[in-house]
Amino acid sequence: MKDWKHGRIGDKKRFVSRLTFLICFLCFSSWWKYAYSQSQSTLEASYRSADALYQDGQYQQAAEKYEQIASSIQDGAVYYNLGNAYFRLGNRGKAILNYERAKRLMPRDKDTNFNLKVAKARNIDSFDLVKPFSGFSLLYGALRPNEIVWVGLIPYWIAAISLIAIQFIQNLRFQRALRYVLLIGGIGWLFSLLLLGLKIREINLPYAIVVANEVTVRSEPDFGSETIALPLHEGTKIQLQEERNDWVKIYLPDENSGWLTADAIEKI
Amino acid sequence: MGTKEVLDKVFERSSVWRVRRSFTLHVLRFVLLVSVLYSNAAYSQNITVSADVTPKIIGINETATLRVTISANQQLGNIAPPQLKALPEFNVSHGGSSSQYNLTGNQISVSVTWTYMLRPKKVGQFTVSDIRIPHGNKIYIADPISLQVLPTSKKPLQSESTQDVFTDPFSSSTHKVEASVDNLRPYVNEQIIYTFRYLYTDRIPSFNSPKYTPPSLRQFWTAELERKRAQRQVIDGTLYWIEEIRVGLFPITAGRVTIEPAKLSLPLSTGRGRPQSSNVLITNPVEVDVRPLPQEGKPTNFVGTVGQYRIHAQTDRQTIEAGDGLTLRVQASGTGNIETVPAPTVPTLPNMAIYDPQITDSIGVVDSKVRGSRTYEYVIIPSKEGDWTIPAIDYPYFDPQMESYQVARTVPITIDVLPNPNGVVGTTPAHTTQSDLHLLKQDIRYIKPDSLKLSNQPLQPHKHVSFWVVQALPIVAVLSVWFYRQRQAKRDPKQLREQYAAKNALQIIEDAKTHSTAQPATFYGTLANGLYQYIGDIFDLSPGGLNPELVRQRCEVAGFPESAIVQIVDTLTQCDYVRFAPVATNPTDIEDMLNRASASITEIEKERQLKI
Repeated sequence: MKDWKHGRIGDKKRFVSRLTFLICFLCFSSWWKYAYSQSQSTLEASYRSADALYQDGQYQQAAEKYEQIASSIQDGAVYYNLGNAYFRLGNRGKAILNYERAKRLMPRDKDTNFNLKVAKARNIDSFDLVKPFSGFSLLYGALRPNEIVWVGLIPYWIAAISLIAIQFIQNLRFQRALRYVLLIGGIGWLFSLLLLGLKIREINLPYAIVVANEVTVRSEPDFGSETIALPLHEGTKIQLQEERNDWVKIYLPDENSGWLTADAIEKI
Repeated sequence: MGTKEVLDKVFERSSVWRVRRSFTLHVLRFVLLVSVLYSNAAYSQNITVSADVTPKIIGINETATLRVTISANQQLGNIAPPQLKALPEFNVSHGGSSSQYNLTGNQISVSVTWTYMLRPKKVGQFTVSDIRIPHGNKIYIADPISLQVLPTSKKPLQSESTQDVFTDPFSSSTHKVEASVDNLRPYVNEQIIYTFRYLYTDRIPSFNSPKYTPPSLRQFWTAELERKRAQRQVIDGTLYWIEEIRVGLFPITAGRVTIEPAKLSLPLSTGRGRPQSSNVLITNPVEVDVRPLPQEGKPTNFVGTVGQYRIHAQTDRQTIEAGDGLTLRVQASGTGNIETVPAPTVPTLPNMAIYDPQITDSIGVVDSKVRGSRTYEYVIIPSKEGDWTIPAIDYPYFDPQMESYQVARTVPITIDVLPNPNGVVGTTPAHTTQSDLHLLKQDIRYIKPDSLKLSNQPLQPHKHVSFWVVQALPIVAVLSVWFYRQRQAKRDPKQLREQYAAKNALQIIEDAKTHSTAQPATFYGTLANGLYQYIGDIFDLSPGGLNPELVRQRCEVAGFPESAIVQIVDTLTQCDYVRFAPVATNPTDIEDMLNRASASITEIEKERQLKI
């Protein structure tokens, strides 16, 4: 009886604590949602005003607005419009930089890919100084990282459901079929994780765009060192190897490398 | 007495016939007239018999065709086949007969041809003579013909005849080929027409079609011309079907050029099944004297264009900002080898970068002449504002009809280059590929709409909690279910028994080992208990109420493997037997019993695991 009473009191306490947690959670989530929607609407208002500036031909002001928005939110459309604004300003390097950023977030967007090509066609250097990456890029190149995650979740959940179902199903044949589904789902999930890893690795590669009109490639991070290659021009894509003070080391063809001043480039 | 008087005497006393006398008289007169005419014609008909053998020289392994023909300018009626004298030097086989009936104006000509295949037995010069054809009361004899048989064949057995005419012995159709060009003295790069003609009186009865092998035309640019349908034409009194293949040729170099013979392989006649060589007809070679272009009057910027041409130039816009690209479209059109025409030289323009042109062709054949247009699209990027003029572009060519050089010329085009509003002109891009040049003329696409909903698009999903949540959820779900099942099993004694059935049974069997040698009866008792315990645990039964037969029934219903059932039942039977009627046992038997018990449990457990 005592135990019963004790148990009942324990149940009540547990119920109250659970209810308190639920209320707190709901309050927090609604506050967070409200705060998020507020900041979202502010950003969207800024975005609209930046678009209006662009339409009026005030590209400099539009670019500044877009830059502000881009510092708060990582959205492909913002980078795309920012690239357009810089292109109109004749700042091809910054335009290419922002199209590249937009392309990371919207790899299948036709406008972004087209504008990037148009901008790059105006480059003085007709090459990019980047090392070729994995051959798997054909599989994941057109997907965003979170899309790979979602694609991978499908076989993952199928595998999990199969595993749960096996626990309950008595039919031997059905059980065997579920085991195959489990195997295939598991392999699919692991493959998606592999692709995700490669995609993230590629995204994290230190690519940059030359934003200065012209920059000299030197053998050492020193203005007194010799020039080892032709100068690079605005808009050329490069891959960084090392960063030291105000200098960056870049890849050059044939396993060579050279140094540029860091202010001449901007990381994608 | 005339015919009239005779008839009068015959009919004069018959009153019945008298009525129709006049009509009958006319009929008899007509019959008499026809018979008189026929007898006159019979006397005047000209019957000839001829024999021919082809080829006249053959190798010992080859076959000659002997054709015997009787021809007349009247109906011949039934004709007996020719009577050939014995030809001991040849194997003779009959190749069939054919007849022809031609009506030309009022003249009739009739001929019947018999064909024989002569295969020589020995080498030498032979005469085929005394070929007779009896007709009416007369015997007609053909002129003797000679045939030479050489010891070795110049050609293999399945040889090709090298002739431009062939008569098919079975269908008696004639086949001829010939080749010609329309101009034997063209200029370099002037179009001539090479014509191959295949003439035949009738098709060869075969499933296959004649196969044309064109001559080598390496010293010419070639262009396929339109093909005409087969036409009919009377040549030397014979009606031929004519098929033509025509090719436009543009001589590459000056000098005498021989167009090698073209070949036409005729198919074999079908249905006769007799040995016959395939026939290849070969045209005559054609010699062309290609004249070099004259030096006199040759423009300095002449690049070898021959034909008749016009040239036209235009830009896609007249006003442009400095640094932007415009397209200069120059189109040369006319008659001639347009595909080999070099690009016109665009004069160097100050403050304008001109890129290599993109070329598009539109070429066709009109009236057997190659004609069309070639369009050159130059991308021009002015680097400085001002009014700039693209001067006239000269396009010199040699006109072979007028036999002189001509110059086609475009109209100068003025372009208004405005200052670049961004003030960016700078250096010119270094791209030269067509796609890049195309992009240089393109403007960027417009900004994304402001109605867009902005959202944070993570590039590093693994740094977000949500990623780990969705990854962990399935694991949590699976583990939860597993724990639930475990808990459920613990709460349910039946499940608990089932779960530990094998473990307990194996433990009991292990205990039985200790009694194995000292107390065999105890050993068998313990072993049987272990197995009964195991079966009882599985089916939630009391082990005390079990016997081997009940075990069998239960196991069979559960669908356990037959081998396992047999093993476990045998073991139990043997255990019971030894327990209640002790016999001497040796360690091998004990070991065997232990192994069988363990094996049967393991097998049943495997099956149960599959079901769990």
